[in-house]
Amino acid sequence: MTTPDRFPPITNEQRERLSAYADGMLSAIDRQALEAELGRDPALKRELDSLTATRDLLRNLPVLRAPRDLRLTPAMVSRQPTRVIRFPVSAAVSAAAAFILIISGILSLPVSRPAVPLAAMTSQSVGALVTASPVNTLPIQPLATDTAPAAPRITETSSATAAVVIETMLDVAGATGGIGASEPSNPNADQVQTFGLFESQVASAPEAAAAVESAVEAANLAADAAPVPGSDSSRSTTGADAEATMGEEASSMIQATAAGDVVMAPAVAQQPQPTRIMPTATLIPTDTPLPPATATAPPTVVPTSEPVLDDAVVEASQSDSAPPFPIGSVALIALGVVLGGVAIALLLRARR
Amino acid sequence: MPGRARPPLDREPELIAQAQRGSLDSFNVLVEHYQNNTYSLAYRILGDADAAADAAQAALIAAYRRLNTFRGGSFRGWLLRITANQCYDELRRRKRTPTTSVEDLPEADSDDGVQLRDPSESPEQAAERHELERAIQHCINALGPEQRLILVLSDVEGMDYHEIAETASLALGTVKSRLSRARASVRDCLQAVRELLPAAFRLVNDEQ
Repeated sequence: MTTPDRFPPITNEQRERLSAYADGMLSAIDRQALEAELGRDPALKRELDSLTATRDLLRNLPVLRAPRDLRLTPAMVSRQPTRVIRFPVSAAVSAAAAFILIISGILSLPVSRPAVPLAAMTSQSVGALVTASPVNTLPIQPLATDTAPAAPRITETSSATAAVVIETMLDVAGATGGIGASEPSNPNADQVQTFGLFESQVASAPEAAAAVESAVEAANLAADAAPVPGSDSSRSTTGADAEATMGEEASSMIQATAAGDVVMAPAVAQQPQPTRIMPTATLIPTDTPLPPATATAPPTVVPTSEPVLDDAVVEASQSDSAPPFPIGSVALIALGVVLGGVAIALLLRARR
Repeated sequence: MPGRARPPLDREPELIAQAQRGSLDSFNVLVEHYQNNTYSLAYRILGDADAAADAAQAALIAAYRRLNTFRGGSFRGWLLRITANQCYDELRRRKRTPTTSVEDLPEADSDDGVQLRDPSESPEQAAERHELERAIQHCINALGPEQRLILVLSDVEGMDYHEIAETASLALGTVKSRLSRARASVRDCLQAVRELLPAAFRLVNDEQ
């Protein structure tokens, strides 16, 4: 008597119609048809009555009293949660930008003895400071030649950066087996040739390529901004052309490397021509003798056992020239500080 | 049951307009009037006093925040639709991470369902009625979330099919079929406590 299976088997479709009928939700035609069925089928009628009784039981359930006062307080309707979610994005981005700017500014400040601290930097981090291409956007410096004295315009900063990056690059080049030498057959093609070497280096060692880009960029930018008078125009072969454009420490390092290992084309020195710091000195791998040159000009081989530093270079590296005011670095740091203030303001506002 | 659908406040449109302009005090007058309805619906759907109070509170907060979407009509119906959706979300969340057995809820919350009691009722009648109501709630709790929502909106709250379809974002046919199956399930479930059932219900079943 009490089990559900006492109810006659009613199809779902029938029950649906009965349920809707109980709620007055059948169309006039359906209602009439169902009423006719109900008159013939007592089981259907019982099903309808049981469903209706169930619905009425439910409908008679009382309204319950809320166990606590549900009125809202201002705190409940403040948009605090949304602010908390929004805060980290704006404040964190500002803080990150401020950090990057300040670090960039500090790293670009002039350093008197940069070799040790800067040597710890990776080529990537140096490259992050400067991003321009070395080919078309940089000021072109006249190469030191017999007939046209060059004016190396390199600050200590740029030379230091260049030195480090070049060191890194040379290490990578050495590790990857270096590059094949191809001496320029035409003096006018020297720059093109050397950049061709540079590109082959890019293909074999992307890391070094990035470093060279950075070095050239830094050196040329600094040279453009802060001219430093004085150069030795008498040196016009091998490492001298590089040294003349690089100046001071960078040149001394490059000179050392070049003097030890490099085979250079004397054609470079024969006439003034635009060139860049990087190509002549930086592309020669250490400990990798060049194959015999096919160019018209015979190569000059410098003994590899003892690097010879040019006296002028040594003098230059020992001289104390006051660096110019680093307005770019200061501007970077100032911008970083302002952004840091914005980040703190955002943080305080979100916390309120 | 008489009194389930409380008549709207006389000043309701004015209070709503003030609340839409940001008056929390005006909104709280409305809350005071409808909070039992809101809680009650939440309790019928969720079957748990604490969860129901939390859901009702959350629904009222949500209602205040989206008060500018109220475009007239029955404020109670609008409030209950928000509450129903809040509870349905909670049910689905529970379904994903079940924490308590549905079967335990009525017994575990014996003090739930504090009622707006009829003062003329004797203590024995009150106790019997309370037990029946617990049994009914137990049977509602045994339904799946979809059927439970439809059954409570229709049979407890008295919403029509169109309102339910809109509230639950369902087709009318789906509302009809779910409701009929939910009613049949609750009817079958209540056979376990048939001695508590009203005479009319017993008569229907004894005819079998």
